[in-house]
Parts: sequence; C-alpha cells; structure tokens
Amino acid sequence: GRRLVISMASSLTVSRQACGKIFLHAAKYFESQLIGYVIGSEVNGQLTVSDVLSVCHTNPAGPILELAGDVADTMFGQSSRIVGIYYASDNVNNEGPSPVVQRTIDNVTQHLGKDAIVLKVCNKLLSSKEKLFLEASRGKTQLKIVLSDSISFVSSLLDALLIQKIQPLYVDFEDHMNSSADTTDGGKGAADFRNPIATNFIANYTVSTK
Amino acid sequence: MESISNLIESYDAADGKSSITALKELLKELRRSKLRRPDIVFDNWMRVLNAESGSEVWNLYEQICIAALDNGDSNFANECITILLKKFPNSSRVGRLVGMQNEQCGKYEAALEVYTDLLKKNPANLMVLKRKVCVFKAMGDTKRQIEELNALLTQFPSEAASWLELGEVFLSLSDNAAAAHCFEEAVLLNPVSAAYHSRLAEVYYTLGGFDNFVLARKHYAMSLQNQAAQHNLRALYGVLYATNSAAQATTDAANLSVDAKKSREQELRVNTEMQRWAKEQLAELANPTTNSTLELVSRAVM
Repeated sequence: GRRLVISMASSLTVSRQACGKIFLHAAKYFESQLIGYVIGSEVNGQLTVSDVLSVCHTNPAGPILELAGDVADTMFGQSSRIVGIYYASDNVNNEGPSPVVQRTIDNVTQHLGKDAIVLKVCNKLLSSKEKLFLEASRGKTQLKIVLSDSISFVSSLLDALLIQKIQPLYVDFEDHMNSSADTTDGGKGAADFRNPIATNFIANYTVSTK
Repeated sequence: MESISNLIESYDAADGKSSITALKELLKELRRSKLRRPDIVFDNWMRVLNAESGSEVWNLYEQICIAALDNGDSNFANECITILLKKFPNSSRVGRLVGMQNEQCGKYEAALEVYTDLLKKNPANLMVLKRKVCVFKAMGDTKRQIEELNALLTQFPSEAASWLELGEVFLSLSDNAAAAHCFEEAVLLNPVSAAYHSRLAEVYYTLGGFDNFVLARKHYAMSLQNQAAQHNLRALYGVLYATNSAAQATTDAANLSVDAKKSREQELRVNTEMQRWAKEQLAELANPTTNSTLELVSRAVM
C-alpha cells in the first residue's frame, strides 16, 4: 500500500515585532520569569510568528492566562491567532521551563488541539550581536528560526530599543492589571498592553534611525 | 511627599535634565521604597554623591553598590564596598554586600560562607537569612530554597514577605494547594492588603471547582473592598471570571445534601449579583476615548 507522508514544518518565520517585544519584555523584567502568547498563523505548512502579547512577569495563574487569551483572540481577529507561548526563565543558568510554564504550554497545546509553538529566551544570548536570543520548538521538534529581517538588522534594532529607553515603557498584561484606570486629575487611564510606542518604533525602524 | 511613581514619571519626562534636588529626592525615595532601578542610579550617582552630605552619603554608596551588582559591574561594586568597609569595618550590612558580590560573580559557596559567618554573630539577622534563600534560588536548588524559607518562617512566623515568597515557589512548582496555604498566612498577617487577597484569589481560581471559584470570588471582593475597582483592575477582572466559572461549575451538584444545595443556591445568587456589579463597573470605566484598552478588554470578557 501507499505510505501516508505527513509533512511537518521544520522552520518558523519570526517577525521583528515579535523579536523586539520579547526582547523589551526581557529587558524590562530582567530579574523575573516571563511568559507571553505567540501570535501567528500556519498556512500550507508555513509557520509564521507575526506578533506577541506579553502576559506576565510572575508565576502565571489561571485568571490572567484565560483573560489574556480572550483579549488576544479579540485583538488579533481571524488572520492571526495564538499559536503558542514564549517564556524566559528567571535563572540565567537554567533556561528550561519551570513546572508552571510547562503546565501552561500543555494547556495551550490542549486548547489548540495540536502542539504549541514554544519560543524560549536564551538568557545568555540576550546581548549577542551574532546569534538570535530565541530558540523555537514544537512538541519534541526543534524548529529553525528564519527572521523576516537579517540578524544584523535585528541586533541593531534591539540596541536602538535600549538606547531610546523604550523598555521602561513596555507594558505586559500584568502591568495593565496593576495599573489604575483613573482618568480624572490628569490620570492616563489603564496601561496599554498593545504597546503602541514600541510597536511604532519597531515598525518604522531603519538602521539610520537614531 | 510625592509618590515614587510620580517622581519616576517626572524623571522620565525631564529626559536627563532633572535638577540635583529632584535627583536627590528620587534616589532617596528609591532607597526608602526598596525599589531597584539600577539604570536611574547608574546614570546619576556622581551628581548626587557630590551633592549629598552626612549619613546619607553612606546609604547612597550602598545603593550605588547594589546598582553596580545589578548591572554586572563587580569591579565598581568592589570599590564601593572598599569605601564602606573603611568607614564601617565590622558592619553586617556591609558584610551582606560582600556576600551579594559573591552571588553576582556566581561564587555561591563563598556567598554562603559569608552569610554563615554573619549569622554566627547574629542568628536573627533577617536580611542575611533572606540572602541565603536568594543564593539557593540563584543555584536553582528549589528544595533548599523551601527548607531555608521554612526555617526562616519558623523563626519569624509573621514575616509576610517570606510567606509570599514561599507561596510563589510553590506556584512555580504548580503545587497550588501549598501555595494557597502560604498566601492565606500572608493575608492573615495583612488582611487589608488588596494585592495579597488578589494573589490568593488567583490561586484558588487555578485550583478550580465550585468551592474554590467561590473562595476566589470572596477574596477578589475583599481586595476590591480595600482598593476601589478603578485602581484594582486585577480584582475587577477576577470577579468577572470567578463568578462566570462558578456559575458554569454547578454540574457537580447532583450528590449534595439538601443543606449543601441551599447553601450553593445562596452562593449562586450572590454570584449573579456580583457579576452584574462587576460588568457595570467595567462598562463605566471602559470609555473608548479615554480608556481604550479597557474597552478592548470589555469586549473580550462580556
């Protein structure tokens, strides 16, 4: 008989938005464990990560993950959706997922009905100019990351984000929940987890941007 | 006195042009609130040190040392420690900085030796006991981290911050029942803390089941009693999810006694009221012009 061959994607395209925002999250909360949702699509076996929604910088609990998930579904519509998670360990020497992060991966996998894409922040590569600070996997399969821009461009972008001090302005969903919605007496309202400043900076960045 | 968040906002707005008076106040408030902002300290320490006087100079050296350690600049931290040791040769506070420097260099055994020596002189030195916990956390030794926290809490059972830390360790291990016990202790010690009630509520929610969703709802309500909804989105969203999940969790009611069924019906009535109230609060706050993120969240949850 004929053998059914199932082709599995072995690579993953990651956008500058995703790279930049994960980096900002890690730069702002350099001492903490991080977790966020990876937003993207899978079309004809091509995996693309177009954006992220940074969720929290403490141990994730049920409510924040569920709420951030519902918000991501509303924000990104049908063309892009949650396809996995990214995480960063709070221990520079131990980059693997903690039990609670692994449980989150398993829950997202269950929700998606297929293995979640997992982007791991390699803490020791955060300041590297030659290598990307992310590793990707899906289930037991390592995925090769293909950047939508060159590594030197991305490296230059990450430097610019720090030089322009974008990282203190970066907001994850937990920051939003901890902020005040008060708009009286000059109050700015709840912190914006959509990060318009970072999004615009990353989208408009060119190497000549100072 | 301005709040630390206002001072940091003013500093960011000044974009490097803050007056020396403003910088002195900001660094002093960072010390007082124990907030670590090595970027602010490192950018401004020289100006502030030149303008500071009296005992504040030594507090500033300590702050600069810790900022240097946070920035990975062990040599600069060493210079600060040398200056402090000259002034305070037998100080356990400076000794703790020596231990922290060892930690920053990854010399965990050396750090533990420093802390053990300091504890021989004063076994009740809480700050040093906490540093030992930090060493085991940095080593990734969760078992020893838990042991040290348990020992610390046996000595200092009213140390709320350590109960919270132990709770977070258990949460990281997905041991939610143990985490709940720890956060319950923290709430007992500080029953007016909105943040403690919210964290405990989150753990009960994660445990799941009707009774735990109701407990989560109650602790979110306590949190909102201590901090109003517009400043406490965490608890407001939490009430919405807890009431919704409790309402959906009624399918396991079949084997309950009559009294238990009555109690459950009462809880469900309270549930419905609280959900209605929370939706009203969120709708009031979710102005698409002034609070567009809340408007987005409102669409997601309603």
